[in-house]
Amino acid sequence: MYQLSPEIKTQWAIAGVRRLFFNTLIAFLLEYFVITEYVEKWFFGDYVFTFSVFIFFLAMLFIIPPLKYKFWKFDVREDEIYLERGVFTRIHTTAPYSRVQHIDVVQSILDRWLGLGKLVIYTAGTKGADILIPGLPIQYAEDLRDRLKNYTSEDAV
Amino acid sequence: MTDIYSTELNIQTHGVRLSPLSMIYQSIRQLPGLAITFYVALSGGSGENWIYIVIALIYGLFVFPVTLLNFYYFKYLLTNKELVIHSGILSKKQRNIPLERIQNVNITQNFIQRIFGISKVQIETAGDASAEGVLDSVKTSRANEIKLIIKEFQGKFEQKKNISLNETTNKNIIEDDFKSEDFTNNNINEPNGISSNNEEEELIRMSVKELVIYGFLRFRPILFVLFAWIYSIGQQFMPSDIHQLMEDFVYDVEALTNSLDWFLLTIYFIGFFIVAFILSWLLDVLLTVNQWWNFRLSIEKNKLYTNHGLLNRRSGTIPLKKLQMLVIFSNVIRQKFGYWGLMLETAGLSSLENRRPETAVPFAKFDKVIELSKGILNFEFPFEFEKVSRKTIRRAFIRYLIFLVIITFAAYLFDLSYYWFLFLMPLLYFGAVLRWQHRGWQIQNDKIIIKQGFFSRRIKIVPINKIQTINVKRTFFQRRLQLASLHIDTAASSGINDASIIDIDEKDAISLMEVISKRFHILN
Repeated sequence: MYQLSPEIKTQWAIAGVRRLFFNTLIAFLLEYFVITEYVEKWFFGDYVFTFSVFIFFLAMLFIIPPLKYKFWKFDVREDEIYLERGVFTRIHTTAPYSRVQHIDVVQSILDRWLGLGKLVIYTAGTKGADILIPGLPIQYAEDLRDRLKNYTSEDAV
Repeated sequence: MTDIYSTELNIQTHGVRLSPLSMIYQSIRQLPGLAITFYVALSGGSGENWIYIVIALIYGLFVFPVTLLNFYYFKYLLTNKELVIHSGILSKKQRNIPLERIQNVNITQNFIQRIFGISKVQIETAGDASAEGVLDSVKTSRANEIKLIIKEFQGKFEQKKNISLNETTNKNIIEDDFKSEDFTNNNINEPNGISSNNEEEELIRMSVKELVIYGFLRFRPILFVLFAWIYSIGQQFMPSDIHQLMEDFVYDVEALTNSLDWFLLTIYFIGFFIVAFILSWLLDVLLTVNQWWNFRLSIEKNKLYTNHGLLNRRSGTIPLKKLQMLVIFSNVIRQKFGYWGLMLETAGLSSLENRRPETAVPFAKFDKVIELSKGILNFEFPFEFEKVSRKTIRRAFIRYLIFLVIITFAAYLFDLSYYWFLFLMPLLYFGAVLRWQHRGWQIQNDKIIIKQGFFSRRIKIVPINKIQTINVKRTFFQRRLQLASLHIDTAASSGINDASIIDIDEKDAISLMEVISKRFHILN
């Protein structure tokens, strides 16, 4: 079983910051325009709601990435790829190579900055069909893609 | 028209337009929209009438020419290699569909099209949604001809492919412990099960009697909608003093208790309820008869063909090679009478449309359904299933309870009497137990069989060699009870039937995943 590159934690944290600002903004708008307007008996003081949302996501920022990293594991087996992931809901997945339709390596700006890449494996399945392995060193991701490419079949249904 | 067809199979050499009747048909289809616009224009009481009239005129001036131009610029050409469709008024589009990639040719006819003798031909290809083709209105005879040409071509194509395959490799001859011979395997020429001659053979035909019984036993959720509809219509015919009484009942309970005949009123309401129920039931029977009228299922060269409908005639093709999952379905009432149905999930056809699984048999006796299913997929119908964990009762009960609490709370907020909701609690527990009792699974050599549902019952049979990915999921709450769910993903495109075994023991789920994946690798 392999782990992801540790730099992925930085990336998740940055995504967490984005989520923090977005959710705090939503909470603020909700409180300012809806709750204080329409709810007469609100239990909390001014902006307590917004503030608690802020604190919650701030805490998540520090708690989630290490946990996510800890539980994210994958294995490149002889004839299938195997993944384990999830903090709250834990998911194990096996995808046989013979079911792979095509494989992409995707690099976002953040990925490029950290020297990482995502491997995306497409199958013909319908539910959670696309398998995504984030946070691989870009060279490794590309090698893995080239290796798995040999197994892809066109008629995989 | 016949001079542009070059051979006896009527393969075209020039592009042709759709049937001219399509213009009339399309115009008729525009009529409701036009009528609504004009209705608004003429009845829009205030002084701004002219705006509506202008809108209506623009609509009229625009829509009909577009219909004509669409007809004029739409041409299709069926050669012995591909189907070419030219379309578009301003931006031109050309679509080439190679015949060997066509999965399905569906011919449908609605009521208006039937009067004109035209049909809609839908061409579906595997996977690629951009390569779908629709010929909106062609003469029914021509539509059947197109279907025939494509079928004939594909027959020749398969033959060629098989010959070249047999010459180069002996790939087809892989014997192993799990593999069972059936239609879904590649050796098309010699399947056992249902005999598949190259000639069309009828498998099932539904009699009118069976159809009516089906209607009566169907009990779809739509029955509630029909009931509400009929009930609301019926209310208008209530005697006005009863109307008054009902209003009094809402505002002033005492006025009602002191007034008229309670007994008569109760009888009246019960009677009204029963009549509305029977009427909605009969209406559902009529809808069923219309939908499944003269249902036929036939097989030809590894493809199933269905044909049904009274006002709207529908015909469908089910390519058995693309079969992903077989679903035997019934409900609690139909099962009591021994009737089941059969649905087939196939892979990746027209991903654009919201695709439903094809119904191969809507309604037939259990033995007949099983016999047919066994011909399609070689399996033994299990009368004993492995049970899921008993802890699932607890989880379901808690979930139902949360739902009940929310409803009770809402009732409390709206000042309705809410206590009686709490009497539902034992019933919910009973429901959770029933849910557990009717869930089960079994693994047979190369098939996974999953059973679920108390009211609506489904037994899903998934060939292991069709699996795409296998997932084991454990939510936060499942992990506390050492439970897990096994989700088997296939390329079945409808998404209605998912093959999942929910709430089995954590360790069992993981080892099951390994067992299935091992068998998958042996089979493929």
